[in-house]
Amino acid sequence: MTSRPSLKRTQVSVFLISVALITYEIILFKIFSIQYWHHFAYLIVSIALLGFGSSGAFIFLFKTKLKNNFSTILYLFPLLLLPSIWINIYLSHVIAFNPLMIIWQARETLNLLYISLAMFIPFFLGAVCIGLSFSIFPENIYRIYFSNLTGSGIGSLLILLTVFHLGPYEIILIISIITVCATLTAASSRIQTVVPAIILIAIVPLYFILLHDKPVYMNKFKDLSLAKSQMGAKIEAETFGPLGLVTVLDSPAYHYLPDLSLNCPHGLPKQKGLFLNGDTAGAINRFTGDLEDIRFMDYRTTSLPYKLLSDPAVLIIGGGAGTEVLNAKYHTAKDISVVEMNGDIIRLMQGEYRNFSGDIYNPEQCRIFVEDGRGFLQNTMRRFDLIQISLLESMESASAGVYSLNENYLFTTESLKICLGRLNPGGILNISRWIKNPPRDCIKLLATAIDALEAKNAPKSIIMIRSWQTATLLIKKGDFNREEIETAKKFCKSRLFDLCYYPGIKEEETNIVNKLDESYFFLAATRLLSGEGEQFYNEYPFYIRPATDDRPFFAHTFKLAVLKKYLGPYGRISIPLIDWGYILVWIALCILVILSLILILAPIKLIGGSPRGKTPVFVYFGALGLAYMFLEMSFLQQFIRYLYDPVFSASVVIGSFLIYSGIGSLIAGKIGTVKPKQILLAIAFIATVGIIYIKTDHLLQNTLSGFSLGMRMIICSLLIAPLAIPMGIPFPSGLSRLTENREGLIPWAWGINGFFSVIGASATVLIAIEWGFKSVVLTALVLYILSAVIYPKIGRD
Amino acid sequence: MNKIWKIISISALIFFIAAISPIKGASQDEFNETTFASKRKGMVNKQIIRRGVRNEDVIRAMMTVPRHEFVPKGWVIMAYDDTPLPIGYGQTISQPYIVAYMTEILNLDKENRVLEIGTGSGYQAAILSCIAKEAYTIEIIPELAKSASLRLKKLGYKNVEVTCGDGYYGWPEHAPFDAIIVTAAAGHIPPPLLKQLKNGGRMVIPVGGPFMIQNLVLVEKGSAGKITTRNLMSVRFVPLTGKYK
Repeated sequence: MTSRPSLKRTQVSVFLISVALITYEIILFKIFSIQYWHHFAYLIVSIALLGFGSSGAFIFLFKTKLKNNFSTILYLFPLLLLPSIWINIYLSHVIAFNPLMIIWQARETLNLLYISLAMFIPFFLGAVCIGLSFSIFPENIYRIYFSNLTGSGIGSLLILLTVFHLGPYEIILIISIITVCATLTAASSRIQTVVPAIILIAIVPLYFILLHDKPVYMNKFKDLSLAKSQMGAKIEAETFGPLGLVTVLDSPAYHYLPDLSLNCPHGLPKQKGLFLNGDTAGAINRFTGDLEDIRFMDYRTTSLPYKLLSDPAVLIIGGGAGTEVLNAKYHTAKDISVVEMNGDIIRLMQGEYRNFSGDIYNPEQCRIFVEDGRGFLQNTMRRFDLIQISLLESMESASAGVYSLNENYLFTTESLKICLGRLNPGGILNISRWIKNPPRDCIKLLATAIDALEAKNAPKSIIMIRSWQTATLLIKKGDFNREEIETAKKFCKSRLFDLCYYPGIKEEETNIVNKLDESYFFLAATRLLSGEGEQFYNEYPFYIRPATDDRPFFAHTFKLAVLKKYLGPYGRISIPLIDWGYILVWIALCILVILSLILILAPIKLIGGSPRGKTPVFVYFGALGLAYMFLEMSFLQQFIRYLYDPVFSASVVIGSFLIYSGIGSLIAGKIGTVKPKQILLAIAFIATVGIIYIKTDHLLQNTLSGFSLGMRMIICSLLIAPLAIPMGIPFPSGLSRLTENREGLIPWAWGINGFFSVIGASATVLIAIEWGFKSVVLTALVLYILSAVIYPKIGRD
Repeated sequence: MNKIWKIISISALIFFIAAISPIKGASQDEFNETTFASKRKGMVNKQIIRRGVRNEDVIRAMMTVPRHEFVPKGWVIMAYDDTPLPIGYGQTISQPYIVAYMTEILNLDKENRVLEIGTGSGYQAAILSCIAKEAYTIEIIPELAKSASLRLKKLGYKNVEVTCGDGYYGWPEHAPFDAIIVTAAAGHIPPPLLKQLKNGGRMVIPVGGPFMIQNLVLVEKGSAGKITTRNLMSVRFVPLTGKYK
């Protein structure tokens, strides 16, 4: 046994470990979005919590041994943390987890389990060091806490500062250096100093040998992986920025224009593929400046508005590779504004691809706004004749339900209302989407548009047409007149497009060229417009209720009835009808429940036995675990609306929640024994702030849209403070109450809280899909109130 | 309560052990041609005939072509399962039913010349070659093109020609075709393919991602060259009763 490290050394070590853990947690968001798809946030948070929860159980289980070997633990565990992170990178290549196959093959569930276990280890190792430090210095618990919280805060800041300039592996290098420094701090002899010092020296060359310039492993079924393997394909440009990995692929076989007419007589120019995090984000078209070369633009469903408007002022949301800018140019738009949130794409288009693309992003020819579409619309005072929302994702991803859990604040009722508000009288909002069969999100778009329009205007303000695989919806600010309808009819007839809806349409005019087995769109439009919306939503086999800011899951169309088809005679053929993303959350939740039972509750059961009267303790700490995560995850998901990207949102929200609730815990520590009335007061405060937040949510959107991203981050963090500070009080107060005369229940309290925190992080998204984020927040508030009621009972024997 | 805990602990332990143990399944060696033939028969009966495929030529082809020869070694034991399987390079071999259904839609006869875009492992081409007079198939991934070509040769499919290239432009030297099957994801229907399709010909395009063929689009070129498309799959597997009308 070596001598115990001093408080100061322990504090520095805890600080460094906290920095490393939070940075690692957030960079995993980014790595996962490249490796797989975008919506694993809940899984990563749950696994981090699993690490912390199980570390508590581990400490309780081996309390004496660990305490006696504290210095070794504090020295060794951060050292082990380093290889565990690097091994994770290696495992991500070896364990070929393929989320797309999870509903076909049971082994993919096991792969998910392996990945979860591998991810869990670094969090477990770090959390043991932090948790044990609390046990070793009970009299200075607030100092350790301070180090832990400042570490988390600095870690969040570190991510926000580095993600603009560094790639994921470079950030992993920084994390590695930090963990070795944590070990160095805990070293108590010369030999103990030498080992981490050697590792520290070796780590940079090792990084250059093993990781530098190596791409993040990408699922083989992502669009980029597929396109890359084709003959003659090569990656021409790649840039990793705050919003992800932007790649340009040069391939003779890349041809992309989904809404092109089947009888277009003109060939496409040479195209280069643009990918974001490995997903298709469009094509860069070669343009010499001669409009004759891009005559194919006239044969797209998206071009219909140009036939109805003359020389319009156009706003393009999601400029991407510039196809819609080119379309606007071809149709001689008098003024073009482009909103593209990814500055890296704009830089590529204005730099390396300037000549190839015909300099279409020249600021002298169009106004470019590097901003989020929703935020721009909210903030702009300008008015447009045409607003185009581009079709960005690929059919492959859309068809697999990959995006079913992604929040999309552009396709909500509130957002479409704002769009309509930014149109000049007679202006048109134009949105294109892929058609799935049977149609789902296109019908949902229609429902959302009708919801956004005033009921009396809706029937006369909509035209919808479709090609063989895309549908285009036109919403006019005003009524479509007879002449415009005739133009639309001629446009469709000459280009082999189908009319889905126009004011006065008859069923026999629909479903002629590209035949679906029913006139889905016509039937949907007529029923939605005739006031039978509610009945139609219930009867349609997919979930097509309008998306709202509270339930912004536009791509989520899953209904249990569809799952029944899978169980029916057609069995596995109906798999493509199921949004696998939604099923994946349930599978992940089951895995997490099992892992939490094994790693958190089973060990506690082993040592804690079954003391009597534990029900109030279970309820109290279980409710706190769930409620805390419900609020944290709701804020994480909702703040994506203001901060563009899950990484920004996670950094700000997770960091802020940790820091502020830590402050709350410190306050509780200062008070000593917190009385039931004080808990009630804290929870009343949480409930009041929570309700104010729910009620003023829409105002926040308006207010924040005027600020820069940095300011938005600061404001978002400050907004969390009034809620998170009191949220830090009930948990330590409950533990402190148990220490008085029910000490045997402390492991249980810890374990139950950990268990429900893990579940809560994943359950948030499921509740939000079904009932909206406001319901999640309300549930959390109810759980907090419940815990306030139970609090007086938890200390009683 | 204790009993419940015991049950939970034991099940959790079993799950954990199962999860960390390597999966031990039947190896390829444990199968022989007779087993494969029997599996193939089961596949055709359960997955294809029962789901409504009636064309005798298609059924015969599905019964004849050794699907296990077209999947990577690690997946051989699942070759006749009701599932698509990965074949490398981000590509898949479609679910047997989808292969059968697509082939049936093409309405081929012994005099037809058929073009396939996206050879993959060559399984679909082998099925086509059993029914049509000539099958031409284009694969853009060189490694797949090479291995499919060798495999088809080895298995004795003489009326199939494989080439490595961009299927977007079709194969004008052998055009026109009575039928075209586009199994590679296309951003749009390539105009050159429409040109190479005979009047009265049929083209089928599975739409969707890997493992998730969501819809089959049938492009028909009328006798006068008029083009129409039909979306097919939902009729099959979503018997929407019309309740929502």
